[in-house]
Amino acid sequence: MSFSTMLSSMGEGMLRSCAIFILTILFSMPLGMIVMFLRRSRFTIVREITKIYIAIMRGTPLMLQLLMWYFGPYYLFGMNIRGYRFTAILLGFSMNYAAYFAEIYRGGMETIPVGQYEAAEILGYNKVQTFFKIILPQVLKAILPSVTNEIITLVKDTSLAFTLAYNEMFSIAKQIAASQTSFMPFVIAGVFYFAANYLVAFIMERIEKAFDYYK
Amino acid sequence: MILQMNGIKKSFGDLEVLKDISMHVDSGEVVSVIGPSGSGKSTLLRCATFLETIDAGDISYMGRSAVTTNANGVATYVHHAELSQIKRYFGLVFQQFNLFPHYSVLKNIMDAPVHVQKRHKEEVRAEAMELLRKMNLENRADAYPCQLSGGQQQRVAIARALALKPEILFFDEPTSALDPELTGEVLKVIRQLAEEKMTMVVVTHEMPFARAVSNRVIFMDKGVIVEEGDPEQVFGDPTQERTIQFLRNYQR
Repeated sequence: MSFSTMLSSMGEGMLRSCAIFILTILFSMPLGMIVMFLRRSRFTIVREITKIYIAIMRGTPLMLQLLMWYFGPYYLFGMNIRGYRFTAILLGFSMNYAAYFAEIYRGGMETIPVGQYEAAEILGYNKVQTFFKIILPQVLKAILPSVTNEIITLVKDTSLAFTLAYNEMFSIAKQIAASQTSFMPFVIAGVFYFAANYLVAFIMERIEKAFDYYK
Repeated sequence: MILQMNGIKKSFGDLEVLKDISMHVDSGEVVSVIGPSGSGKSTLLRCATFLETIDAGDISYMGRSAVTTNANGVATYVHHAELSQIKRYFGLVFQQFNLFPHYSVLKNIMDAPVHVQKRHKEEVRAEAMELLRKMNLENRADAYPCQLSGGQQQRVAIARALALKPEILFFDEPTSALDPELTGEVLKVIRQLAEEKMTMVVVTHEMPFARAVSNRVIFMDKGVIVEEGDPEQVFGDPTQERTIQFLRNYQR
């Protein structure tokens, strides 16, 4: 198998990896915001349930969680869902990353001095205005380095989709490596992840710079 | 009468911080509140501005009742919409300035009049620039708070409060977070506002300032008003032993 054939068969896998990555970001980042609010709820019961959710998401392997999402409906409820594979992958990734993002957001929220809320209240801002105009921009600035870390981890974690026999890039690389007894697919995979993360770091650095205008 | 507070009580847990405090502020008056740390001065201000809820007592602004206490001693605040209306009567300048760091000086001043009071942007901008001129900061409109000294930040905070055109302005130790050499520029601005007959309540440790600027001085200790009166009387000829002691310690 020539290098270019190898590359083209892995190309399709790269697109799949990218799809997992982009959709997970799209779902988990807003979802994390909701989880963060639940985690900070004034109702103890809501807070405690959210804490348990976060503990499970962080305390068990993502690989195991993916298997649970995919096989759980069948083994637990006897449900047989067709074409569920990709949905299960997205559920697994999004629910897992939402928990991590929620904790990052929560850490960011705690950096905001209470005086900011009090000033906003005295000036007459309502709760929604206070959050979106005053608090959130400052939280975003505070959490950007941690978010970068998380996104970089996600790029590499997309390879876990092989657990559910989804043909993302890394699964294909392993197949080719085994059938051709070649090390080359792994080199290509490594370059792909590295390049993707280089791009992520570059973009995130730009965003951080955009927030540099104030301390 | 702009502000009327009667029988205010406030406890934090077992600690009784305000014990039956009553005070009023008339239009154009400058009232200084002095007293040792922990005497309840700041808490009184925070209760007056609804940052803390009182346990008992009545508060009203411009004759509109914000909180009342019934015969059973239960303090009840008016509903949200009415309270929001009443909140427009006052402004508050914090010890720590609490400017919004991600907004420029001008946006700090303009944002609430435009987005809370829904006033016309160009009209607000003109007023904001006028306020900055008054604060001697007209060339810092585009700066960010982190680029300003503490004294400049506090003057921006005063301009931000004034932009909403309050009937009364509260100051919570406005110079306590400043280097001594920067307190002068902030006090000068407050003095200027006093000359323009802005109604103000100032919690302060600056005794010469309180004596020179106020129409009335309130000395608080351990959650009660110990002595209240004309500044010359309170500072020059205090009647209460506790006041004499406090002022003597202060001069040392």
